Order: sequence, then structure tokens, then C-alpha cells
Amino acid sequence: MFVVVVGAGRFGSLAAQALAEQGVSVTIIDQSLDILETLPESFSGFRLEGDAAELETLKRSRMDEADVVLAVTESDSLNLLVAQLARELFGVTRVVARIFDPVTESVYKHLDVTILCPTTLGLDNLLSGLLNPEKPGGSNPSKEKKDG
Amino acid sequence: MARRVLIAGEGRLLYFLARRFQSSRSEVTVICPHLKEAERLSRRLKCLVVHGDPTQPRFLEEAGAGKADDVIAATGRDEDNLVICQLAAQHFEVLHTVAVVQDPDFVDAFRKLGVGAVISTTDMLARLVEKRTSLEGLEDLAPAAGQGVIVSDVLLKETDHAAGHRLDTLELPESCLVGSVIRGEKMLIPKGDFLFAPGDRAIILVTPEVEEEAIRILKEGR
Repeated sequence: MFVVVVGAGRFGSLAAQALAEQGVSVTIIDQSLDILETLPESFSGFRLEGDAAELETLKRSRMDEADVVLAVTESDSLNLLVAQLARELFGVTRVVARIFDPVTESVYKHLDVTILCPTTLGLDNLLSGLLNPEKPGGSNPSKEKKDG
Repeated sequence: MARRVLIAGEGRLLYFLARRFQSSRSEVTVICPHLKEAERLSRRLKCLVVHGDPTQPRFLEEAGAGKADDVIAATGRDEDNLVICQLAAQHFEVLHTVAVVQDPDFVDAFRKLGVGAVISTTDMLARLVEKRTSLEGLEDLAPAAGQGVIVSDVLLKETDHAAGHRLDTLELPESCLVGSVIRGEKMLIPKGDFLFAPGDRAIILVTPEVEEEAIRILKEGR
């Protein structure tokens, strides 16, 4: 499997490392070399410095050969751009885009792209935790694990 | 009824676009993400200026995207311009969307993703410069081709004789050659049966004595 991760923020770099540890071939793109260098030396994936808002960068990442693309930069727009290009232009079958704004998330629901909205996820999690406190760890898997 | 044009962006491009559309009597609304700039714009432009991030549907709504005829996305970020146009088209059902892009490779990609028109300033500038240098190149050739050969660029208007006529029906002087014709973005090499169209630019090679005559024949037919 070959995965292209766009954006080496906290989420992107952790995802890239976790995938690489599973033996997945990973390329991670970020426009900042400094940020790419914060990845541990043990990271076996490929680091690509470049602006994801430039088509050439995505081509250089060999996105057309990717099985999965994760668009997880800090910008909703950039993630939507990368995700749609991955899907429509590069023909990637599994594309995930992180969208912080829940309204934008709802507008783009029709896309053939998995949308990860941390705001909605966090809120759902919090609310079900608060409203169903008696359900042991109903919405907090990490706690459940510890308890179990 | 006046055209309702919504422009999202920043900087001088936004300001001059807004002014340009106002002067053509469009009803202009502007969205600008920077507070200071939005305040300044609202003093200088006599139109509704919304301060907010145009990639967020609520600001587009506040600016009346639902009633706009045209939405122009001219921020400095290609990804924002894509999202603005997609939101306008899909969420607010705006008929005409225009995105400005920095990366010329996005022209085709954005059209595929549903943007009405995509303008690459990079491409436009490069084409202008290249067109000019290619003409200058021709002019440089002229002295080498023989003494006193002139390269002339003749624009054919609808009312000009040659527009609508075949090249071989024009009685051009002996020492005049129509070297090429620029039609839109294409450069054509005309043969005898070539049919001129309005808007064509005929690039002619001609000796000085007959230059006037040649241009007159193209324009007036005799």
C-alpha cells in the first residue's frame, strides 16, 4: 500500500509515522522543511518539501499511484483542494480530508471523499459522554481500555 | 436590472475590480477577510463590504451570494478561490463563477471541479510577453530578408474588406506576402484558399513602396 499524507502538522506526522510502522509506504508533503525534519529519524517514509497548492508538488509525490491520500493541512480549503484533485484528477480511490468547519463539512458531504471533522467528532464525543455519564466510557475508548 | 457581482478577495486587485464593475453599473458587493482593509474599502467604494472569511458559507450568505449573478474569487490563495466558487455554485446556485489562480496548471483542473471560468494571471502575462517577443522576432528578421522589407501587423475589423474574403481573391501587390494570421490564440499559416475572419491579425511582409497599397487592399478592397 502507498499513502500520501499532505500536511505534517501533529495529525499528519503521527498518521504518517503510524502507517510507516505498519510497513506502509508513505510520502509526507509539507511546505516547511523545518517541520519535516521534526519527524524522527526512524521514520522510514519519504519527506517531500513543497507547496500543496501547486499541482506540480502533488505530481512529484506520485499521487497518481497512491492507494490512499490524507489531506490534513491546517487549512480547510487546501484540504478540499488536495482531496478533490486526488479523487478527480489522480483517480485515488480512498481520500480523506480534514475539515474543521462543520458548515463547510456539510456542504461538501456529497463528495466521494471521507471527511474528518474534528469539531463534530469532538463535540459528539463530549456530548454523549456528558449526557450518558452512567454508560461506562461509552464514548471514551481510551478510558474504556484502561478500565477494561 | 443591474448585474449583481460579488467579489471576494484582498489587496489592490479587489479594489480595482470592484471599481471597474461599479463603473459598468453593476451592483457590487465585496468580501474581504482583513478588518482594516474592509473598513478602508467601505469608505472608498460605495458598496456593501462584508468583513469575513469568504470560504465560510455564512459570510457569503451575508454578502448576498444567494442573489448574485456572478461571483469572482480573487484572493491570493488558489485553494480559497476554488472553495469560494464551489460554495457559490453548489450551495448558493450562482450561475457564473470566476476563479483567479496563480498556478496555471489549475486552469483545467478547476474547470473540471465545477468552476465556471478560471483566469491565470501568470498565463495571461506570459502569453502577452511571448506574443510580443515573437512579433519582435519577425521584425528583427526583416532587415536580413533583404533591404527594406517591412513586417506589418494588420488587424481586420468586421467592416474591413478582407474579413470574409479568401486570400486569393484579394489583389495584393506582387511584393506582398501574408506570412501568417493570428486568430485568437492560434497562429495560422494561410494558403490561397484561406478565408479571413473578423478579428484576424494579418502579419504581412511587404516592401515599403507597396505597404500602403497592401494595407488599403486588406481594409478597403482596392
